Amino acid sequence: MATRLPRRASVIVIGGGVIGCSVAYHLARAGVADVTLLERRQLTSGTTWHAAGLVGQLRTSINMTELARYTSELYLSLEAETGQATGYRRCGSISIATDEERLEELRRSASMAKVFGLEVNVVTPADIAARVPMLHTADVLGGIHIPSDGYANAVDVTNALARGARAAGARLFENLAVTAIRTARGSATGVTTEHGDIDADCVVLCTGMWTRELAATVGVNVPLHACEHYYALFESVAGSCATTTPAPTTNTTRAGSSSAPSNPTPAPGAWRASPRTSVSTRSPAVSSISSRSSNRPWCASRRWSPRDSRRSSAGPRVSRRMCAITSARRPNSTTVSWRRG
Amino acid sequence: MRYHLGQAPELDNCFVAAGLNSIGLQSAGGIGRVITEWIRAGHPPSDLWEVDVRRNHPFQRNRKYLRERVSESLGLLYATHYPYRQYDTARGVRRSPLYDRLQAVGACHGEVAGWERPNWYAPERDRARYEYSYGRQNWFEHAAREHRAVRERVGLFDLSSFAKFRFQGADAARVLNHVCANDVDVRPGRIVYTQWLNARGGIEADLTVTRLTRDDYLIVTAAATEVRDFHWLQRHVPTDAHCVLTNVTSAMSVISIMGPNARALLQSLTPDDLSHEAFRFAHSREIELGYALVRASRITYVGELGWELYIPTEFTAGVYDT
Repeated sequence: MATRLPRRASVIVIGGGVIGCSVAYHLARAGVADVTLLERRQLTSGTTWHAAGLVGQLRTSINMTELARYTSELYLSLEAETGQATGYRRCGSISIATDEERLEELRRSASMAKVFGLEVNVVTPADIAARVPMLHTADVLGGIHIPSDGYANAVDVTNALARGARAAGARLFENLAVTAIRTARGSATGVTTEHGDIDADCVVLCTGMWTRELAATVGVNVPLHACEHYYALFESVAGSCATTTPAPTTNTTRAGSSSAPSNPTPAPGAWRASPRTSVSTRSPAVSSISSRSSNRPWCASRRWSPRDSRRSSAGPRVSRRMCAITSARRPNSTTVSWRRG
Repeated sequence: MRYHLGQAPELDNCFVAAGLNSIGLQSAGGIGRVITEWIRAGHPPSDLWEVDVRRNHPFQRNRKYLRERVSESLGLLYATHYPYRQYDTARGVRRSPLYDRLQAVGACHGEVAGWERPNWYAPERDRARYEYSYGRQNWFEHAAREHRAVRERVGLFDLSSFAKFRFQGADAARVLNHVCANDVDVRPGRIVYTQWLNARGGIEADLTVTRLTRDDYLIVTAAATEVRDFHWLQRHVPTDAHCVLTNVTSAMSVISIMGPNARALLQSLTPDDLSHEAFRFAHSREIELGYALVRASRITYVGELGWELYIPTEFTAGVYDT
């Protein structure tokens, strides 16, 4: 390792998640020579590995939506370009509303999307039921359908970007930790690693959860704070896609929104469901989870590894099926997303 | 929630692309592209203000603040995104000297850059809180009354959250004239409303510049762009220039008196001549007010006759009571 470590780089990218690998990919493909990425463990081992994989495009401004749309377009071509499968499927997304104000919000975002040139269709509960047969729609007031949204495998996408970066001349190093950012006369000048210094014209911090601390060492302010996400892991569900589960809470205030793939045939897909969408589950394993205490997250709160198949604290034996739950401060707005592993 | 992107203002040649908060995968392509263009061109390729790291304020790296605020903001990600939605956590971080007095008269404060600012006033003090909706919210009629009051009579605004900088030195005028689109080599006591443009003619800042003396300028800009604007000017000061830029945001509060009756109100409180002949628009000078000496700038944010009063912080309550 020490003999292969470059002494200098044009740009040092610190962090080998999806962001770092995309930065390295784009720099190298733009013709920037001597791009070097340094990942302290393995690519994606920070937080990219547990991404749910949703690839939505509609943001709150035209410029942000444009960046997200470009990302979607890139993922379409990444596999052909690099030879690395990405798992990207453009199945579309549906965001549903179970109260009037959420519906208003969705309608407004659809109007915005029209201005941005992103195809978004306002859909009725009947449309939604036709597209997502397993969804309970009795309390759904409507929603929006974005045909070009999709999902991907975050680890595979990152590896594809890494491949593309290497093919364009970037050097990516794993198991190589940056221990310090070097500076002189008000400028970053390189990094110190476990195996020696590297000079650079420019340093990019793509260090996710660790950025606040790393940036602070050189007086750069990045206000970040890590938050927990929760997971539930399920048995394989008999029949088609897993269904949503009843809310783990008994709070009756308004629901959150949810989205589901609009693929009309039951197929693997990433989707979320509102806790107020009371679809009965087909999986006994899922039922037993949902009947647990309403105020505690009803799933494994431990760190989950992609190769982990031990029992979760919820009881049922886990499979590779993965569920990501984002727990809001108020339990009634918990949303659930999962995909087939 | 917005991620953090761009060139760090504190350190040259250091870029950040982090804090993606569950939208990393769907943003990565775009981020890689714009960071690449930003590094190569030395400027962002498009309007990325909402994710630019220069929107961050130094106090926001405080860990108690972060812990409490993110515990709410993460949940809000999936909540209904009402217009004008305010945070509940980590409030009251930056308060003007008038905060308590204004709350006592029914101010409903909202937060920007940590600053508590009266967004509207309720006639009953206990109703001074937002009731959110996508339709007309509960403050609408109160804002209408305020509008009419300022338009027909006079109103008082607490604008203490303005970012304020002093730019001083023998080269201050020359450097500032290079950075400002408008000519700021004016007589002391003049206020110039101007923009700071980039090399492509795009607007980087929108602010006022007041020449206090030959070598001393006061720059006033928005609370939200305090960091961004400070670093823009700082970055454009040549290394051999004899001038110093100082952030004096905390040194002064700002009370703005606006409306057709502004002159009558203020004249009753000061022996100094506020007549139109003696004190023209876009002029600034020190006046006596109550027991204090304050800088009165005849400028307006609302299109009415009025003055912005720049008051050393410790004099503010006394001036308000006057």
